[in-house]
Amino acid sequence: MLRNTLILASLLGSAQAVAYPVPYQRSVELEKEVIENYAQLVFLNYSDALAGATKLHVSVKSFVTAAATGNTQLSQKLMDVTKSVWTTEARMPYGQSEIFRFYNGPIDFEPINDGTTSYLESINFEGVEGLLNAWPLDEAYIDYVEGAPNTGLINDRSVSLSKDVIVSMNELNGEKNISTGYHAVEFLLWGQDRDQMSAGKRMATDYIDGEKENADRRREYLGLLSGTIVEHLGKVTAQWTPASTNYRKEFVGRDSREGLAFLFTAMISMAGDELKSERIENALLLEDQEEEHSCFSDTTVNDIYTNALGVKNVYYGQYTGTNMNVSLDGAGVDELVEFVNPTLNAEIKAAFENVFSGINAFYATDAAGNVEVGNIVLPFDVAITSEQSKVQKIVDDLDHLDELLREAATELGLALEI
Amino acid sequence: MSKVTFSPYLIFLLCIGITSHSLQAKVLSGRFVKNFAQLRDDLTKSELAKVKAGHSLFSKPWVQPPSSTFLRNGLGPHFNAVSCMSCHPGFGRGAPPHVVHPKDPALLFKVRSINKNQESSYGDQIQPMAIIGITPEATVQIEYTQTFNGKLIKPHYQLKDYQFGPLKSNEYLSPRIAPHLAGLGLLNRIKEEDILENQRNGGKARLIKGRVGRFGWKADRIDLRHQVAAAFQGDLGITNPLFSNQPCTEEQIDCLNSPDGIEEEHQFEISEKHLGFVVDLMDAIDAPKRQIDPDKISFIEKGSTLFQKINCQSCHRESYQLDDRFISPYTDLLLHDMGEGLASERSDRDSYMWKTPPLWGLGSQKKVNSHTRLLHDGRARNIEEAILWHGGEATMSREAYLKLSKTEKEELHYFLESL
Repeated sequence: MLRNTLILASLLGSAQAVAYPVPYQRSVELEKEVIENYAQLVFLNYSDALAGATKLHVSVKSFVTAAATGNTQLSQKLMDVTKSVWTTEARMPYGQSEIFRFYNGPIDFEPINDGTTSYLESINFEGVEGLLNAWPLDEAYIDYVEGAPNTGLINDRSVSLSKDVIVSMNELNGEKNISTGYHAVEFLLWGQDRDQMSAGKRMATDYIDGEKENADRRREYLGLLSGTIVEHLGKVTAQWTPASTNYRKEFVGRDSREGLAFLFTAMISMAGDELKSERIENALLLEDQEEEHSCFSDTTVNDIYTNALGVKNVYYGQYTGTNMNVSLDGAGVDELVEFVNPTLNAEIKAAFENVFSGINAFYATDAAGNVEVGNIVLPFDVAITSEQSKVQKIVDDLDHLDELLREAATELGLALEI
Repeated sequence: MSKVTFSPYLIFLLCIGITSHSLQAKVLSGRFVKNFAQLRDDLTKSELAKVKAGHSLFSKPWVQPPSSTFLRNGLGPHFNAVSCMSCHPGFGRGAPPHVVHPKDPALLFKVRSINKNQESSYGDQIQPMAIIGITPEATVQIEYTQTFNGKLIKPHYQLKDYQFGPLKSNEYLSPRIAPHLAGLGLLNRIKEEDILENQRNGGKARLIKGRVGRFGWKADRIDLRHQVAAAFQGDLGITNPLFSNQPCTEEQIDCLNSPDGIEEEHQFEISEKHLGFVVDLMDAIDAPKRQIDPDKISFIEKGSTLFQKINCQSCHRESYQLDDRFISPYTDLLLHDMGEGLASERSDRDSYMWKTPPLWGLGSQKKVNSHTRLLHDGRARNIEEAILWHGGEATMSREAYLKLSKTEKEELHYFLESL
């Protein structure tokens, strides 16, 4: 009976990874160090994203203030600045942070009815990912679109706008009409992309009274949107602040192998399921050039780059700030893999090189041959119709990385449910 | 006695154990609890890619036209939900409103006519939502009263906020809740002969143009494609090769005149190919794994014996041998008269008939979906209540259940929660 119980215990379908019953070589101290370093990495990444979101909000505010005065030239200039802040300062760090989903951490938290109460459950925390980064956007729910000049919350003067209103409208009727977050700001800055040769062509005059209907409400809505991004990111960042009673405390206090299982779940989910399948391979299979997440601004290549960089950050235990002058280089997962299988570690590092050489082909290189990250020469919507082999290469390399990471998890004695 | 029933369990558990540790095991993303998101382990890489594409179409919201997101364009004009995932969270079972979420969309209402052939002003079902600029059809008010000595709650449904008048005197509402989706591809492979043969224990197969219906609470969908296509049109308002009309009736002028999401050379809001990806997804989700609590194993064995003893397996047929696999869904896929208690008020014979739902997944539902609601409209708050609602052809089993001791009832519940 005892033997049976042991077998049964090892087979129980737990939501998280369960440890193999067989012993393997491990260094608990190193594991703990990796977990601690990861928690710090998450904190720095979110702080950086928060700094970027704050810059975006400030920039939006100055843009809409200028637009309210009716100064077209200044408004256009400030709108262009705001687009640039969205693309670089705001999105670059956030894209790297997307890997922190997938294990029911603060960003995508939902309560689970399993008889135990986690810290986030105890404070009734609500995940904010859907409010920050949901896709696809319900364009016609927010503002005018081609074929429907008067649609959307902006053009419905019977609705008075406030943060609470736009957040609650995001889940009207218990259903998601995506109307908040980065892509909503993107839509209000760029407008619909109806042309493969360029991004959306919204002009600053959309925000100037007398030039476009409901310009006042458009200014107000945009300001509320960028403000809510700051607010929501702030909530998540607070859960990762060191030396506080928060999610981080619970996270680092867990058995280090459970923490490791979370790290691997996140890396594999991001590299394989999310980045490879959802964001890239699906676009090829579904054959739609606008099947890309940053479709208004045509900056999807940056999403792919930063999502992949997020995986690399976690594997290497590194983070370099975009808005903050920080550079973390601590104990990464690579050190644990090196400990159990140096050959595999080398293979994984080579796989990262391949992934990035594929993605870098979408960026310009300077005279010295260095990649200019962010300077997109081949937009994703063009690539999936005319440069499919370049896209396929990234898919194949990510697939290989996914397999190697699964192998590493097994070598470390982690059985993952992914 | 217990030794005899124990060994098959152990063998079964060992079998699932082998696959659960495979490096190739893949699950679908989405909810953190993935009991209903396990994929069959025999998928090739190219099949897996199609399944993932189907997953994207299943889980991401559809948007209202006009939109620049071409392939997800076309929600409504009337609809019940914006994505498949809305009603099947984590590929699991939905609940009536206010159980998990006040505005849970998972319970929908078909409009049925006692004279069968007459089309309602509301069409096939009530869609309580609409895109901007279109007035929603109606909402359904739900009230519960106590029954069975206060042990059960009975729902009463009434059309409210209606745009096209009250229901006609010969019309009634027929509620349907969204079931979990794990193992549908395996149910799809049960041979029609096997289902027809089940009729010798009672029950009736629904025949649709010579095919046996097996999906939906009324067994009115013959295969996965039929089921998925019907849901796209009826629940999301997405036209497709099988159901090419918007969910608007002749009286619903604003609905008929609303823009659709059909782009350029396409004929439907979801193409044959993309519909196929969603069907591939449904086909790929594996049966739910048994949930065995090792401390309860002796109760579970006894419960299994009681399940047979009170004749539940007569309709909840345990298992089938497929071409290459043995499955245990616990259903005969037949329609049964379940008695007046489960029928709609003021209705016809068809409203008494319900398809035996599979019982696999009972043990995972609470973890995935945070509720234990059961039956076709989620009125049963737990397994015991679901059993007590059994009437009609199942009356004898319910009476036998009532005669079980408290311990025996618990054993039966443990068994059912292990499925």
